[in-house]
Amino acid sequence: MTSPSRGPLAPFARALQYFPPVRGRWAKGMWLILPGSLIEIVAIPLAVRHAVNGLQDGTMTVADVGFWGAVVVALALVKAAAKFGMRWYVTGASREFEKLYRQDLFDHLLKLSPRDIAHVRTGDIMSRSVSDLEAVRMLLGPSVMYVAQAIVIVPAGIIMMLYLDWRLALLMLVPFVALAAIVKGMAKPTQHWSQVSQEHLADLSTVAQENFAGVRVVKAFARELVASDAFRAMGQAFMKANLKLATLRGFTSASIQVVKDVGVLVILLVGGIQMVHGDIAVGDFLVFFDILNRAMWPMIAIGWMLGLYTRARSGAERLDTLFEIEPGVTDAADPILPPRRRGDLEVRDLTFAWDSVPVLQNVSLRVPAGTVLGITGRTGCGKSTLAQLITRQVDPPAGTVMLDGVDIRNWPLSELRRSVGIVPQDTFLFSESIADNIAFSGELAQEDVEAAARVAFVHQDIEGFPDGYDTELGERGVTLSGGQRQRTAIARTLAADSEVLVLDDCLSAVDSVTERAILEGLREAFAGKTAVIISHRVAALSLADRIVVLDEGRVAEEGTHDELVELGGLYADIQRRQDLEAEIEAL
Amino acid sequence: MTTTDTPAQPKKTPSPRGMRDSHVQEHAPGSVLDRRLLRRLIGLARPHSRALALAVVVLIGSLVLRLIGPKIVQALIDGPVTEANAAREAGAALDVEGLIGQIWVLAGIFAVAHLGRAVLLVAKELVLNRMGQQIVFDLRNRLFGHVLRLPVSWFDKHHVGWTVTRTTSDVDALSEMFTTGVATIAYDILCIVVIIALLFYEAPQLAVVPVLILPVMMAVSFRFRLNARLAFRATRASLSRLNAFLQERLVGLDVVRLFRREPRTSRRFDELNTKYYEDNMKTVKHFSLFFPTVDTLSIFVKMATLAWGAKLLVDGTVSLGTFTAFWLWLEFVFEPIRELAERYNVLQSAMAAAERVFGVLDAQQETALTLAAPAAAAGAASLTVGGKSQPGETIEGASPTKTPRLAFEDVVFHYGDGPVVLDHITFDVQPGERVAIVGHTGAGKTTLVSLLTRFHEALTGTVRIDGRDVRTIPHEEVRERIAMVQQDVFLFSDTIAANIRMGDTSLTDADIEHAAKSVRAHDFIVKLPKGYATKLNERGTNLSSGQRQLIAFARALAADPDILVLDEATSSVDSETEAAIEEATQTLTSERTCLMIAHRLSTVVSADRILVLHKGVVHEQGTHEALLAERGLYYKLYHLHLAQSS
Repeated sequence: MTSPSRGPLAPFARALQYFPPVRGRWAKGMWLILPGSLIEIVAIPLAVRHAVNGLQDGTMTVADVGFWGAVVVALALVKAAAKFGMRWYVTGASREFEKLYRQDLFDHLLKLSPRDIAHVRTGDIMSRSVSDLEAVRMLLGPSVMYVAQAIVIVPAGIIMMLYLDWRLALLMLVPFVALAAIVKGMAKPTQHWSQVSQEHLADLSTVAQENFAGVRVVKAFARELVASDAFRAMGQAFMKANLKLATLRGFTSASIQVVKDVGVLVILLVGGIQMVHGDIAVGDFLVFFDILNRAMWPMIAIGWMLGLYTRARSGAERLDTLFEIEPGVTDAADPILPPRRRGDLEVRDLTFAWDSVPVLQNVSLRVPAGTVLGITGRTGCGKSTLAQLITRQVDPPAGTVMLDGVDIRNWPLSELRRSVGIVPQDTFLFSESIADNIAFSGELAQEDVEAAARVAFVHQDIEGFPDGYDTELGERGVTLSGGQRQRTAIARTLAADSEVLVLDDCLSAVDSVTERAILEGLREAFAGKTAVIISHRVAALSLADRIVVLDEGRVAEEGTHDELVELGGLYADIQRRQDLEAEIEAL
Repeated sequence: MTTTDTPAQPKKTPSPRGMRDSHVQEHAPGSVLDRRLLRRLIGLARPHSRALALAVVVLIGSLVLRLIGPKIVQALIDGPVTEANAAREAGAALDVEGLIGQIWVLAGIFAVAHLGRAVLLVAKELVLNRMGQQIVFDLRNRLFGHVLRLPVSWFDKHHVGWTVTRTTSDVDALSEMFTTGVATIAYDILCIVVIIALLFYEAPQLAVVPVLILPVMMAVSFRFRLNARLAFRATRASLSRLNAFLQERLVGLDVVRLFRREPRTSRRFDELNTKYYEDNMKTVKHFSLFFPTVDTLSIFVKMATLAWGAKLLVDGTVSLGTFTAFWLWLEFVFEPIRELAERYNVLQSAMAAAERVFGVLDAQQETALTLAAPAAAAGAASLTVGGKSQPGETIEGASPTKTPRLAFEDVVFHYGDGPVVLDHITFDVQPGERVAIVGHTGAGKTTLVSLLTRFHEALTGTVRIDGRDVRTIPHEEVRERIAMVQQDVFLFSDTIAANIRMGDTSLTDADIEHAAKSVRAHDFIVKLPKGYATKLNERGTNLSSGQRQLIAFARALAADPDILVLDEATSSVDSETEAAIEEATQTLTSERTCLMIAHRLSTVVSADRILVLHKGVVHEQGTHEALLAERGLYYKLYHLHLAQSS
């Protein structure tokens, strides 16, 4: 064997961490293979042989045969119990192993941010957590179990046959070896064609997806027949691969059958001749058939297991790549918590770039505790990036964002999250009840949930749903409108009751009447809190004590609403445009 | 706790109103014996009746050949073996050579029979698969073609993913039914019946024992399989819940972290993961119990037969050979009994899939929506009461004009039970006129043109092309005359040439190139690595949005339509591409009847007439200058546009 770092178990280094907790259970099942298999391949055949031979040579009475029959049934019951235990413990252990492995994977993912996993598709993570994990589990559970069973049954069966008649036994080795060879030899082409077939199916699926998604274009250009022809051609390729596969499988199963038949033929011929010579009895003859039947299947299992190892190995490797992703934002080595949390926010000369594309340049802001700052600017001016930086969704450069006099990078992450609440631009809600969504920050009393919902002006909407606050959201529940989602997200953040609130363009999908009502509520909710409102709507900015206009990553204008209107610059333009929109809306 | 139990499938778009729940793949088990469904399925197999007949012959043949085996053992034991034993007991001379000769003959028969059986097994596999694959291939093509001919409104109600699943997984489930399902069930049942009959024929006294016990075995097997199936279903449901949770948390990872929700999210995952584990363990329990139980039962059957057989042997009612053959035949019965329940389950899933596939096939194609044309001009006239029927207007039967006249007469439309989108709209477009439609978001512009192309049908009122109600013109005919440039340009993952040609084989490469040149797309196309043969990514993501628009223009120009419908893209492009698009728009719209949903100032200004759509009605109309002078809605929209583009 090669060195441990390159042995067959090397790819499973991480997987094996989850094995010790289930080892006891697993071992119990593995031990039960021994009694179960030995009863099956040794004890029962011997008892049957004894009874049939006794019957044949007349040394046994009908009652004796009945007794031996009962013995066999009793043995069968013990065997059944052992086999049940074997499956129950080994498969159970493998399932528990899978559970531990998956939980650890999930906990690892929870440490990451969407940016950390941006290069991995969600679908890939899903399939790793299901299919790849399943492949590793199968290797540890059922396949090891079946191989172990084969390792007991096949030699025991051969020894049994040697004991009964060595010539016949030696002849029987031929079909056994042939069987393993066939299963192994057929595995590769079968796998190949099954992969080809899968690829063709994926192609078919893509063509269907594309044409159904673009059905308007297909129709507009009367392309239905062309599309059907393309689909037909792909279907033809898929069908060919499937037929190839079916032919291979047909030949495989037929050859397995032939091998088995050769075994029977050998028993028939050689056993028959031996019986004529009086060397063996009918009971021996029958036992040969039984052993052939029972030892055949473990041989097939070995061939099958060889294919599984490759799958499990690549599965484990893919899982490892997920575990290797490092979280981008982490706690500082020695975090500092400011003595008093007041909510004094300061941005100092902040310059930031995404992948060397500059987004913010020398931005400095001060939001004294208890005040409200408005930030506005055109799409792409860096507003949302600023929001992500001051909430530390992304790390700002050291010393650029201070909260209560401490660099937010030095705050304990969990405490920072408690102190700073944000309503993100993309209002993501979970498929849970509305109450659970609003109380997302912790265990909250129903009054607190409702109070937050009232401020966000979503209480009435919620009361209007059949199940009120218990209404489930998502696929199985109600689908909220864009405005309702935003308002629920606002309620969720308000319910967290943090010292600093950041609202990132969270009223864009709300109509102007509702907007006014929410702003009214927010004005009260902001009392004693520090708030940053990012918006391109002038109405929302009216809550702010001061307003900053960003343009191409720099602070372009700064002042109160009146001052900025007076200035006649970017802010005044925005204001004019919105008046115009309001007029059109009102027509 | 009632969480969703739907499989997690990434969903691209939020579900539109009234969308069917596309996520429940495994329906409640439909009755396998649904007669109507069965009839339709048999209908699919009817063209293959010869293959089916062949398969039946092959199956019966292979069964008969298989049953020969034990018969040979019987002959062996009752013949040479018994003879030899008797001779030995009597101390008589033994013709060993002769007896062994007999054994060789029996072995020869066995070998031939089983070789024949192997051939039949391969033949069966080939015949059934060829048939099954062909049926499924035809069905899939039929389904695909059918879906493409469904009205656009159907696609508003069904997820693309849902529909794709019908043409892939569901159709595949049916293939399993035709290749293995039905044939295997038939074989299994045949096997059980024939063997039991054989047992009675060979030794009726002996057959009584197993025949009494076999039904018990069958009942136990069915019971176990049913429980296992239910447990398996529960496992699938909890896996779906787990996956849905995982997927959602992955997408909302930021929210989880911002609200310091990691510990509780981890706990919740643990709960779901544990539930999945527990459900799995139930399934494991069922399967762990099933095989040993059935095996024990089969051993019990054999032992009971042995004990009872011992009595009959001693009585001399049954020979040792018969008894041995009996014993071996019994072995053949166990497997079908064990598998029958599982096969029934496979069949059940296939039936559920069939039901969904037929459900789609039963949806009405849009051709069914075309009305019969009014028989006479009088009828047509009565339809245009209140319209602007003009003398000399081509009504019905007249050949289509190159630059047709369009008319919207008192058109009302809304989606489903949604709010009114078009509220009694009336206007017309003169032959060769270029009309620009402007309006704020949600004014109903896109809906308006979709009525012209018959993507949707007006609820009341009439849309006419050259005086003909579009509802009386077949869809292909309408669309052949119209070329449409959509706002969200949809390109196929095919070559650029194919995306311009759009399957019109009458277009030469020179035509394609000419079209591309005319809209200034040629220059960038030839710079691509493979020029016109460059393969586009899905949705053409390897082109810029401006380039995609130019391809769409070339595509529309190549189609040389009588009517052009242009839904301008709002996405901003660089100034060079902007200039190219402006020029291409001019080329494309000259000498055609044009309806343009305009976002570019240049398009609006150069239009012959501007319709200002607002809240589903035509609010104003006129030329750019006239409308500006009116200082109404258009004036405001114009200034808003200026403010936005500044």
